[in-house]
Amino acid sequence: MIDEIIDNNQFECLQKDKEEKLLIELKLQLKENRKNENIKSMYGKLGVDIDNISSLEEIPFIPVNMFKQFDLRTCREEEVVRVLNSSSTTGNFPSKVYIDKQTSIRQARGLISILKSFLGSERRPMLIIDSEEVNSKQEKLSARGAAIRGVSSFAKSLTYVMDNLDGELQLNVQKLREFEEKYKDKEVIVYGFTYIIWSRLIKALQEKNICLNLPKMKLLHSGGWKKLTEQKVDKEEFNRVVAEAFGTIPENIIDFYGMVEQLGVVFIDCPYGYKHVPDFADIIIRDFQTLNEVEEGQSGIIEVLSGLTSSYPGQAILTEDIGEFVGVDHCGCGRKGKYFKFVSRVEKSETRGCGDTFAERRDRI
Amino acid sequence: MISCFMLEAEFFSEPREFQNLHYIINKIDENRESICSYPSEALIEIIHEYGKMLGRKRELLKYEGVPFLSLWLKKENIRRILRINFKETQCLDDFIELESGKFIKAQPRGIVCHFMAGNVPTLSIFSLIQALLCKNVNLLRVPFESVKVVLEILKPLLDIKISFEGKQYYGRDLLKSTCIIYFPSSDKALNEEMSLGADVRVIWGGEVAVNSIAVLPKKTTCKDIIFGPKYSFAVFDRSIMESSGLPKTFDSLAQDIISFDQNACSSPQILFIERSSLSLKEVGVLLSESLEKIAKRYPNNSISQSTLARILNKRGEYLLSTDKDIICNKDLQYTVLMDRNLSLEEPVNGRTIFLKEVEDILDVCKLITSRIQTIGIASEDNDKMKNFANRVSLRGVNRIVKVGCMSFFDSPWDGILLMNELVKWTTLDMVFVKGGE
Repeated sequence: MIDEIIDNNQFECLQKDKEEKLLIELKLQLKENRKNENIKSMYGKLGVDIDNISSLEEIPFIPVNMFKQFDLRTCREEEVVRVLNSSSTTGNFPSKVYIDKQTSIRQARGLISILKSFLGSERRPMLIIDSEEVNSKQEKLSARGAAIRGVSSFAKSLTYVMDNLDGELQLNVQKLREFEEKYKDKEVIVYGFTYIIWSRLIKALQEKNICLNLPKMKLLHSGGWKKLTEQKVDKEEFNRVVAEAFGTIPENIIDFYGMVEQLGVVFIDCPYGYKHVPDFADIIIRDFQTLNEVEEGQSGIIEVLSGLTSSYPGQAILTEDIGEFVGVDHCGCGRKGKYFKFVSRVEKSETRGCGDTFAERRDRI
Repeated sequence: MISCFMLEAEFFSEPREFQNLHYIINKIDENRESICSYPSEALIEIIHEYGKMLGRKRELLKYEGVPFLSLWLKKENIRRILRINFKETQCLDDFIELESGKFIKAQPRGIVCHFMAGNVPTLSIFSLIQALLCKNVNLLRVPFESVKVVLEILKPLLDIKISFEGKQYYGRDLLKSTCIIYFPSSDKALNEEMSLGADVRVIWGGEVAVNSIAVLPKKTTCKDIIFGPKYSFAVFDRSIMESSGLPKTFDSLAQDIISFDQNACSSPQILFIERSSLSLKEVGVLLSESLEKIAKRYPNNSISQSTLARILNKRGEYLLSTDKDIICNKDLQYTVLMDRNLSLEEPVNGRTIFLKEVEDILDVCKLITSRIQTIGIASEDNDKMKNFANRVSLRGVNRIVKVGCMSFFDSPWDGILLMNELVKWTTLDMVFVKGGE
């Protein structure tokens, strides 16, 4: 049934119906998860009786950081076709996400299914604001590479516009101009990581005083706002400046939220500025104090549920991101299901006063 | 920019702003003579009355640590602490004779600059009161998040008036010797100015804060008293584990765990239990029952995002690990993390306690460094407790106290007799050797 849900048009299922269907699918997948000793241990300690789980909220979630600490593979080792690694910007160890063939296919189909709702079904030329190396054909793939591989399935052709010079990304102006010349009157997709677009592309275009002419482009970007927020760049400013640089309107600059641990499930801004959940996935925004689902209008920690995975426990992953639960089934854009806003990453730094770490400095060096 | 919240016994609802500390330091310095003229007994009486007033104010008693503070300020306790620090309190008022013709007096050091930490607001009052008892004038830089609470707790001192030996003495005069300010810790120039103005720097805080203040320029005569980063835990020996009083002892430990949101340097982060007839899981269940009970009375409704992330990640780790166990409730009221690794663990806070089984409580000696401040102990064997205390204190532990009293502020603290450090010892020698004799 999950394959049918993935291939159907997305955002058409009312939340109540979706939850019913998804629960049946996820419960079957949870049973398979018990093949992994760590997950079996977790279910045992929590006293989970899978058959008696009666709502998505009851599914035991796995904190996203656990993919850094444990090998949460739920398929046989020989079935793994790729291992995805997170960017590891906030910790010392990258996540390890094991992908089997079935998961890989479902993730690609899931992503296309979502993108179709926002971009239409026609494949288009795609400009990637990154270097080709990031998506090289190796067994281990970074978050950036995985995201590019995902969206590239929606592309008619791929043009990488950055060169990797000794680990530094540099804009290849000639390639960019060639792409512009070839597709200036056509509908194209541009994809990149938010910070790379801002710091490598826009900065270089401004320095070289280049203004592109790609009015029919749609730019999809993701990858966090932390660095831009530090530079006092908000979403409105980003959209305006990037649109100007491409010679298009700010409405064509589209932010989406996703993570390497839930590849295939992306949350794209609708014209009303809200993020929507596809029919094969769900979100639960949990209260900071009680961990129950928050009411509409309240903020909490985002949990992402997905029916795409058979090689790792992607059924319920608790992120370290904060979202605002906006509503259900009634967005002005017409999409059904829950919709929300991404607020920020969880604030992790704090002053601890004299109740501090036990470790002496020399032991930490 | 300096935000001044209290100066010359005047509380400002909108802080007065100053570019530098010249005016402030001059103003508090003017009161040096006045506070020095107060007999110690008058100071003790004022502080006692202040404590009584705090104990009567419901709106203040709701702040964590204020009920204990009001008891701590009682004259019997203040006299006890003075005795611990000075043996003879009279040395604060007069030269007292050490031996024939030789006298000694504890004189105030002058301006005490208190660099306060934000985790326990009442620490500002403990620090200030001790400096006032030594007749110093005081400048407190209080973290922005605790300024409001500190000011509210301090305000009742304004109305205290006592009679001693026929004269009137006022809490207002103590406040005139005190100034409460805030400026960002990142302001290097103001930090330097405050440091250079100090005759004593009392520094409370974590490693980053302490290290950044310690390296600031200062007078060559300036005395540094540092209450730096510390870590605490509890141990239960076999005698208590197999006694009928165990559930009550867990109740006491639960009290220690929830105090100051487990953020104090004296808050227990781990409980080491000696192997007994109870399994680790059974002990975990008993401890969780105590935590459950106390959470019903004092629910934890203010978990920060960073604490939330730490709790969820630790819960995940202990749930997924095949050699560890966990007991926690559905929400975030408490978490008991069980394993048998003989190690210290980074504080998670938010009522999260690591429970570890050891063969012998003396095994924890291997873990002791000078960073360990308090060990809460539960044992029915006094000789064993003394032996344990001797061993762990040799390696660095400052306080070994009964479980249930871990967060009670006392003297000495962090191994320091604070008041003894806040005075300078002055001698008077009146024995003259006559020529030719």
